[in-house]
Amino acid sequence: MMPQEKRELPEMHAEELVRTLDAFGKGRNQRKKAFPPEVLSDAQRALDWIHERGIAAMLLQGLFPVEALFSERSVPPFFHRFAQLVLGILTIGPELEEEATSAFQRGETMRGLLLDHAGTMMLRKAFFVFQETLTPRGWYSHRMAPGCPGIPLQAQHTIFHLLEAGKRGLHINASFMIHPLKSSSFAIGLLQEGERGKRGESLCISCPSRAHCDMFGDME
Amino acid sequence: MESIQQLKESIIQMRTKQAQELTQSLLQDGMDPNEILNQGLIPGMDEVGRLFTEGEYFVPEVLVAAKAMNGAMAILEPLLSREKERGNAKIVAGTIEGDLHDIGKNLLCMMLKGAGMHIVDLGVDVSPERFSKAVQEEKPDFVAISALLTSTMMNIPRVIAELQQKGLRESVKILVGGAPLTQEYAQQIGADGYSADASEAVALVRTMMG
Repeated sequence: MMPQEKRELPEMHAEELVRTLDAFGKGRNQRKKAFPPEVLSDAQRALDWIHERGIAAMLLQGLFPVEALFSERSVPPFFHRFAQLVLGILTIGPELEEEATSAFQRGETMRGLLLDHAGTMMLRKAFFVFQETLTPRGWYSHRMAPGCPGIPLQAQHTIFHLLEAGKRGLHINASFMIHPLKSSSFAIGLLQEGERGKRGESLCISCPSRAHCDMFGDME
Repeated sequence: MESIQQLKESIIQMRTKQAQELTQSLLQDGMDPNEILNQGLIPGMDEVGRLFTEGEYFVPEVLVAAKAMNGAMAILEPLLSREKERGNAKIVAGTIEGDLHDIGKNLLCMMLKGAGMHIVDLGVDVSPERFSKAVQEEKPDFVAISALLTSTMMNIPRVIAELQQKGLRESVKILVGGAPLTQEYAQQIGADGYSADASEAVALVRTMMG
């Protein structure tokens, strides 16, 4: 079975949790006025619950040939720069998700939303912490994932099975969704020796959504 | 009249206790529960929706305002006439089959409920057959379908086909929404309406109800 690593969830403060939640709203993170104290108290309670339950991230990862992600198809030119790929899934398990769902069912919408968002943010932060461990070693540091330009959604199944994630209690459905929902798959390329330090072609160039994408240009 | 304005303001200012006290006070003064709802609470939530649309209020404020609204509604609910008799829309909502995301759908349900509409929440991963069964049993005015992924939004046309096959399509209007969806996609699959967010959905339902 593929090894898994337990990783502590990064610290998060109530104000940060609520502020980033505003990404759902129209103002994104431009807000200047204070949040209602009631909201900040709810956010702190949600964070305390996560801390008290000892919820942590689990990382499944392995090093694979580039062809492993593109079986039965040719490897897109963008990936020719890579010698190998780190394929991984980071998950924080089902407990937080179950509590968030339960809160929604009890009519505690704020708690449900804050717990769900805390899970999303902590998963994201935990990934960045992992990513920083690779960067100094010469890994191509950009995170790619199924659904990114050039990587078909079906690659979600490939990553899932290569990492034997089913044996770790994760599930994947026909729509390529991994359950628990607070799980995230990724691919990070290890550059070929001659490619290190060079700036590569942007993945965005081949993306059909580039004209209206907020992240256009980020995939380099 | 002043009190009903105060009630509206208490919702906008997210004051749960005040909203409950004013509701009690208006009932004691003999005001009709339906009028309290339609002249105080719903206009209050409408204003909250407007502030959200304009970027003045964000999701946390909408949730606290909804809590104030729900606090007042708990007092009014037993005294109100049925939604259908009040002429408010009945909506069956759910996240499409294969999709387990419920946040957007939950916010939608909360906003629609705050606007006085009756919601039947089917949850997530709802099959076309379950949508169809709910339409048969609940006889809603609308079916609201949410999808967060490009891989799951493809299942929405199956709901429309299922309703057509069961002869139910003409009895309901179908609304769709979720991150990957667009107005063009909604038209392409034969949905009746598309909304980019929960607040917009309230206005859309009202417009379609005439």
